[in-house]
Order: sequence, then structure tokens, then C-alpha cells
Amino acid sequence: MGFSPEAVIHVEKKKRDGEYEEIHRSPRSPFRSMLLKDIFLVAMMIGYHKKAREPLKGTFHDLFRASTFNSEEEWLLKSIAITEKRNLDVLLDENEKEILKIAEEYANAGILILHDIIFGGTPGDPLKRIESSVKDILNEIRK
Amino acid sequence: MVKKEVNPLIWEELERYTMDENLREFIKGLLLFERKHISEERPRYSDEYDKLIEKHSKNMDSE
Amino acid sequence: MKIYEIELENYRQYRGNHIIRLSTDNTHNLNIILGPNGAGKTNLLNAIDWCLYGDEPSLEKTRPELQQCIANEKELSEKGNVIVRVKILMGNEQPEYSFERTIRISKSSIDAHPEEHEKSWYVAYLEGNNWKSYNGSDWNNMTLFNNIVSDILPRGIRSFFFFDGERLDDFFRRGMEHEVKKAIIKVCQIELLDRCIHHLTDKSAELRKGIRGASSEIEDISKAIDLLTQSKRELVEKIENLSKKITEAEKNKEDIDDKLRKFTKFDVPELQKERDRLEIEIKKIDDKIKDKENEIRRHFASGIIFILGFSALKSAYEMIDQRKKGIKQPRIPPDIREKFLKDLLTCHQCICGTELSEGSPQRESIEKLLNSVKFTSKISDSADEGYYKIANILEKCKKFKSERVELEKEYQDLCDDRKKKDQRLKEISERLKGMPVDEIQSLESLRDSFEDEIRKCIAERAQKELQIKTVEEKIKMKNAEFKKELEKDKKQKKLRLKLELCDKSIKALNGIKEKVAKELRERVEQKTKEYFLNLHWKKEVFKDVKIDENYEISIINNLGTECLGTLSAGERQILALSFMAALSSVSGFEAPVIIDTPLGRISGKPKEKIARSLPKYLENSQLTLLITDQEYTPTVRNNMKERIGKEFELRYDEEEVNTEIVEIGGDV
Repeated sequence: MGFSPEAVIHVEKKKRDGEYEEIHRSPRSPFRSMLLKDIFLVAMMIGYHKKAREPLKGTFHDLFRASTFNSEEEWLLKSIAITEKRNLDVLLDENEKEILKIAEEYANAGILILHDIIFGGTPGDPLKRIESSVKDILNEIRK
Repeated sequence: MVKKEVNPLIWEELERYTMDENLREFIKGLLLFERKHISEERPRYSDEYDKLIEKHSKNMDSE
Repeated sequence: MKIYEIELENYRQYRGNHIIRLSTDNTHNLNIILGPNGAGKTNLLNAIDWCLYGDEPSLEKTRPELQQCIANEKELSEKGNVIVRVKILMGNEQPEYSFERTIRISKSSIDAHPEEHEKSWYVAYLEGNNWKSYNGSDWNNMTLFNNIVSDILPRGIRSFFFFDGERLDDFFRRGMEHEVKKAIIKVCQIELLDRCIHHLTDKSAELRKGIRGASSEIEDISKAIDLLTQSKRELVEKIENLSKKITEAEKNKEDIDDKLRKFTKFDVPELQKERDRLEIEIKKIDDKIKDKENEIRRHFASGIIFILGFSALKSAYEMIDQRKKGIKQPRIPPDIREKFLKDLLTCHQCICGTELSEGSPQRESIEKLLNSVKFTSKISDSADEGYYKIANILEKCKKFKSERVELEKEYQDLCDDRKKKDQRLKEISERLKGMPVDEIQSLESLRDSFEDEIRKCIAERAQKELQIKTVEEKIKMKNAEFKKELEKDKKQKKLRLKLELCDKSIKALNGIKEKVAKELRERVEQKTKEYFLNLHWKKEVFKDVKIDENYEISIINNLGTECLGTLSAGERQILALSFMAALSSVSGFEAPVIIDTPLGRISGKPKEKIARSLPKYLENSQLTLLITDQEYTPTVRNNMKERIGKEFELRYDEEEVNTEIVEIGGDV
């Protein structure tokens, strides 16, 4: 089905120029070759995993169109919204904005955590650190 | 056949590169100067650069 | 462009006046200058360099006794005062340029040091039918002369047209990517772009520093930018020095390997051969390890978001599943129910006959039912889609771990293999160090120390490169801050526009530089392949020549394997000559080519095979070979005959300290 063509994913302009730019461009970033959409998704899921959610403040920036999510990514966002609201009503067209708002707020908090993981100064490979923090989930999946 | 100008590869890429015409003309001026003085280790570039910067920054203003 | 004539007067072993008139015929454009070692071949090349560029790059190849003074020693000791002069006549279909450099040298007694006196230069060029000439008496003030030379062949790329055949192998030794990159970058005059960027950066700093009446914030930011820029320059210099150290150490290490390969005692050559093979294999494994690391990284990046969202996906799936189980299957499908109810409302009458007038409770009941049907069916449709999509994602999550384990295993296998080979290299080194021959022991220890140095320098260079990137990011941020502060001050608009112009130009020039370097590398790769496959006597054996983005050259044989390390000396020479030809053709300059000792260190049959190929080498250029009699066997001569324009012999008289240039035949 997909999100509507005019729907846009927002981020705080300050974070777009700061954390997003650095993660996207820095040679030290393991995500430097990724699309901003992909960085957004990683940030969102790190925020969700750490139970950190922060409403957007200040000037907003349109990062990309929501219609660029593929169907798997779309259902990831919807699953999070369903779980948050404990209700399937969120799947209605008129609640699309709510799905995106939840995603944006998790990403808003998550991008700071992701930035800290990469540039915070802890030694070692950032990807390995993220991976080790999901060991429990991976073990659960095996069951 | 004597090669007086800038290497054609550089010239082609300069033409292809997306930029406004004022900037392109500015860069062409710089390259021609540098090509003319390629045999000098420390060419006196300051005056020529000042002239080109003065001219082309004014054109930026009028855009 | 061709050399018509070279005139030497009292230049090194050329006592008195000597003229050599080269063949300029378009089809017989190969000139042979034959002579034993020390006869003056290299000094002929030095003379050309001295006349055009004021230096003698190949001087160390000259006999030591001739190196001290540029003037002919015998003439100087007899007359006490000598004019040294070299004149070159060049042109296309006719002579069009004349270059001359002169110096007077004197020596008051046998033990005295030679003294330099009047220096002069002369340049003339044909304009239409008239010759225009200029001269001067100061070598520090030769701008016109230098500019005309630079139009024909700039100093920076002359080494791709006038070169020593024995040095060519340097390009293809291990670790010489730096030299290959330098050569490719030099030949397309990226130096021009570098100069523009460097000068614009300096100009920007000057404009910033020249700011008047600015706020203290602007001044502070400006100072910070200056410090960071200085820091960057220092790092760049350190990296250049480290690269030079690495190149030098690699060369020294290769020299030692060469000596060990030729050792006749014990099983030293066999051990060295095994080491050569292992090092090539380790390089291949390192590439595979890098590829595997990237594959693992890509796999992780694409899967991790679903792993992190596993609980949400599972929870959503369960909620949809419960809903599906909880909803009783309606007797009438959703879309029909909706249409049915709509029709009832339109007709204002229920199926049982009851009136459904506006505002009636019966109508309201049906409207309520219609709304809940719409509501429910929309959720159902969406949830149905989600049910299958989420199920798929959950399946993929299960595979993520096993796929990851598989990739990690492959990675580990490669690392283990590398470890084994590393271990064997250590064993070989220990065996060589334990040999009862002092020379072998000390060579091996020295080799160890070069390897250590290479390792340290590579690590330090990588660290510095990372530091530069950090500094560049900081400079970028500070420049943005500076720009922002400047925008606030209306008085600084003119300065702001100038800085913006410089900034945009630097960005554009860097972008152009990257693209040009890439394009050039690809063109050189393509031309090298073309020449190599054309020149090689066993064309069917080789398939491809590649120069990758790290400037590493590789040769692919017809089995698809990389085989640079296993090329014979003769094949490497052909490759080197092809590379030089590619560089000169891509440079855009059409200068004559002069090769000193073209057959390098080749011996026996391969020499004759290369000689067979030489007539095809740079067919459209005037080619002059400075060749020894050992290289120029009758077979070699016969193989090149069809293209030879003129042959000369250099006859050196040791007593007279004089070389005579004698034309010996092959005239057109």
C-alpha cells in the first residue's frame, strides 16, 4: 500500500546539519556510504531499542518522502506504531501521520545515541558494539 | 604540435562540471595563468588573482 | 615534435665542437646511438636536459672523473678557460625552435677548483617565415626561454619522454603504487589544479586576515582557521615524508630479495622463491578479507533495523493474528456489505420494508452500521497485508543469525589461512638468519628492519590521514561559522562575496581534480593494455592489464589469474615501456622520446624478442635509443632495421678525454 505521496519524514534542522551530516559524511562513520533514509531507520530503531523517544523541537527539515520506504520498512514503522498504541486502528489512512510521528520521535532521540556510539570515543568498532547490544534479541530469535 | 594550453582532459571536465558561468570563467582565468607560469617554481600570482577575484566577485553580486 | 640537431661544445667528454643530426623522417624515425658504457650516451641525454632545463638528472650514471666539472677536463686543463655550449634545434616538419645554453668555465691551476663565469641563453622560434630570437645573460631570468620549452615539454613530465630503461622496473616492484600514482597525476598536469587550489587557499586566508572593523568573534574564528590550516599543511608534509620512506624501504627490501634469489649456496634461492610466492598469496588473501569485512558490514546494515524491531514486529503480528481469529467470518463479504447498506439508504427503504426516512432511528442505525463496516473493512484489508509482510520479515530475522554465522566462518577461515602463511614466512626468515653464512644473516636482518620500518610508517601514515580528515571537517565547520558571522555584518558584503568565490572555486577544483585523476587513470590503463598486448610476442597468453583505484597494476593471463609477480624480466620491461608510452600519449604532448639503455637488464633471447617489438613502439614519434654494443646484437639490429633512420657510434678516447660522434650508416 505504501505511505501517501505527499507524506514527508521530518527531522530537527539542527540535527540534520549536525548529527545526520556527520554520520553521513565522516570517514570515521561506518554508515558514511548509506542513504539518509537508512541512517534515519537505524537511528529510529536504536531509539526504540533504548526506549528513548523525543518530540521534535525548533525548526523542522524535510529529510525524505515517506513513499521511499520499501514495504518491509513501511511495516516496521507500522508495527512500532501498533505496539505503541496497542491498537490496530493506527492502520487507517487518517492515522498515517501518527505512524510517522512516532517514527520521527524515536529517530529524534536515537540519532543522538547513534552519534555517541560512533563518535563518543569508546574504543572499538561501533557496529560490533551495536551488535553486542542485540545479542539477547538474536538469542531470542533462535528459539 | 605545441601544447600551449591546459591539458584537454582538465578543460573538458571544467566544461562538464555543473557551476555558474561566472565561476567557470573565473577558474579558466586561474588555470590559464597557472599554465603560463608552470615552469616557475614560485610564480607571482597575487596580483593576477586579486584582479580576477575583484572582477568575478562583482559579477556574483549582480546575480 | 622532433630533434633535428644537437650541438655540443666542450660539454663533459665532448671536447671541441660536435654535431649530431638525427633522422626526422616520419617512417624512419628511429635513431640508434651506440656506445659502450662510459662512452657518453647518458651524457648526451644529460646535455639535452642541461640545455632545456638547466639540470642533469642522470649525472650519477656518468664516470666519476667526468662528474666534477661540466667543462671538458682536458680542454680546461690545457687552455684554462673554456666555453661550454649545448644547442638544440627542434621542430615538426621543419626546424622551428632553437635553444642554446652557454657558460664559461675557468681553472687557474691543476689543483684549483673550476670557476663559473658568464652564463647566457639564446632562444629563437619561427613565426611565419621569420625567425624571432631573444637572448640573455642571466639564467635566473629566462622566463621567455622557459615558457617556450614548457610549451613543448614541461619540466614535470620530461621524465616520461627522456628516460633510463634500467630504472623502468621501479614502477612495477611491490609497493610502487605511490610512484605509479605520482606519474599518472604528473602527466595530466593536475599540478595546475593543485596550484590553483593552493593559491586560492592562501588568498582566502589573506582576505580573511585583511578584514577591518570586524567583530571579535570573526577574528577569533579567523585565527582558529589559520591554525587548523597550518596543522593540515604539516600533516600533509608528514604524510609525504612517510610515503617516501615507505617507497625507499620497499626498494631496499626488494634489492635484498634480488640478492637472495641469486645466491648460489644452500637452498637460499628456493626459500626466497617460496617467500615471493607467499607474499603474493597473502596480498590476495588481504583483499579477500577486506571484501568479506565489507560484505559483513553490508549484511549487518541491511538486517539490524529488523533485529532491533523484532519485538515490535512480533507483537504487531500477534495482535493481527488475534484479531483475525476473533472476527467471525461475516456471511457477506465487506465490499458487498458496504454497497448493500449504501443502497438501502439511497432507496430509503430496508430489505424488510421499513421506511428509512431522514432522521429516523432506523436510518441512523443503518448509518452507524455502515460506518463500522467501512472502519472494520479498511483495518482488515491493511492488517491482512501486514500479516503476510510481517511474517516474511520475521522469517528473514531468523535467517539473519545463521547467515551472519556463515559469513563470520568464511572470514575466520581467511584469517586462519593468512596466519598460517605468516607463520611460514617467519619460519623462512628464521632459517635464513640461522644459515652459517654471514652475508645471508646480515641481509636477512636488514630485510627484517626494512619490513619493520614499512609497517610502522604505514600505520603512522594511516593515522595521519585520519587526522587530516578530522582537521578538514573542523576547517569546514569553522568556515561555515565564519561565513555565518560575516553575513550578520552588512559592511563586509564585498569581502564575503570574494571569500564565497574562492570557496566555491576550491570546491569545484577539488571535484574536477578527482574526476580528471580517475579518467586519466582509466585512459592510462587502457593505453598500457593496448601497447602491452601489441608489443608482447606472446599475445595469446595475456588478457588484460589493470590499474585499480589504488594505482596497483595487475596483469591478467588468459586463465583469469593475476600474474604480475611471475612475469619474466623481459615481459616486465615490455610492460614498463608500454606504461611509459601510455603516459606520454595521454599527456597530450608530442615530444621526441629518448631512451637510455632500452633493453635494461635483459639478457639473451628476450632481448631479441623485445627488439622485434621496438619498431612498433611509439611509431608516430621520433625515437632515439642510447644503446650499448652488448644490447645491439646483429639480431637486434636486424629486427629494428625497417624503422632505423640513422645510426651513430660514440667513440671515447680515454687519453684525449674526448668522445667522437660518428655516423655509421642506416641513412635514409
